[in-house]
Amino acid sequence: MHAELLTLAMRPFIDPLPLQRHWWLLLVPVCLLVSIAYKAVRVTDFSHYWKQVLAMTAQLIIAIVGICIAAFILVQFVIPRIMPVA
Amino acid sequence: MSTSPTSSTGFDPLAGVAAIVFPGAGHLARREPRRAALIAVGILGLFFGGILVGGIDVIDSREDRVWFIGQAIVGPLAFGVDYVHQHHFKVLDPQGRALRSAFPDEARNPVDGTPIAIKKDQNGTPTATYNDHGKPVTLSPASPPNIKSLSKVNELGTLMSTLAGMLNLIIIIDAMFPTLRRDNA
Repeated sequence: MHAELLTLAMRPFIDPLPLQRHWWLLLVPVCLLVSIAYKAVRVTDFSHYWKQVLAMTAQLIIAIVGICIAAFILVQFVIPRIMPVA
Repeated sequence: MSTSPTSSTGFDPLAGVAAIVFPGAGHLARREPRRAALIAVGILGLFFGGILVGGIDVIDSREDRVWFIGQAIVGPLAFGVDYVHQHHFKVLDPQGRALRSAFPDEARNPVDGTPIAIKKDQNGTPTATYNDHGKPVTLSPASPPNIKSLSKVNELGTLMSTLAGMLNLIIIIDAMFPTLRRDNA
């Protein structure tokens, strides 16, 4: 019964999006929207606004992916060497 | 790289209040329509993007109070969405008389907000029957008022709408104290 109800048509803004497998793709719109809002208050001249927004978006994505890779290496390789599981 | 302040100086309380009321309105009050429009796109995109990803469940002042403190900085909009969530989607538990999210096999009684069990009729359609001042009314097909988001989808939806509030704090300060903007953006 529960599974049948959960497969009813999704209602946008009421029910969650079915993104359980592809949630990481949301990194791009999140970084882009943060950059749009942040650069809107930071720039004094709008002539290079979108270029700055794209640069900040790329910086954020690279930084977050870098932190993700560093955390993966720490958890998978460094910590098992420091504290081997008995 | 220059770090000199812009020529616009001082304290602008009207713009500050407008920025609190609606994202971007503070800069609109300061006659910066382009900046205001871009701010509104960014903040509202994050806020409603979060609700789109995680459902209305991500704005919840009762169950996720700490996150709601961040979301509340978006302004009255956040309180409005929370009000709609609490009063039009949550059910009134008949035992504890407290608001809670409906279970997956419960619909919401539109008269008093209590949960009503969803059952399948002879055709297999989920239905729920409630009493409207003595008159039985059947919802068909019946469904829960909303589905709670779980795991990463809930985390990201909540994070997006909270980021909107935290960024809006920067924007409120920028509207109220325009001297803080530097040329080295």
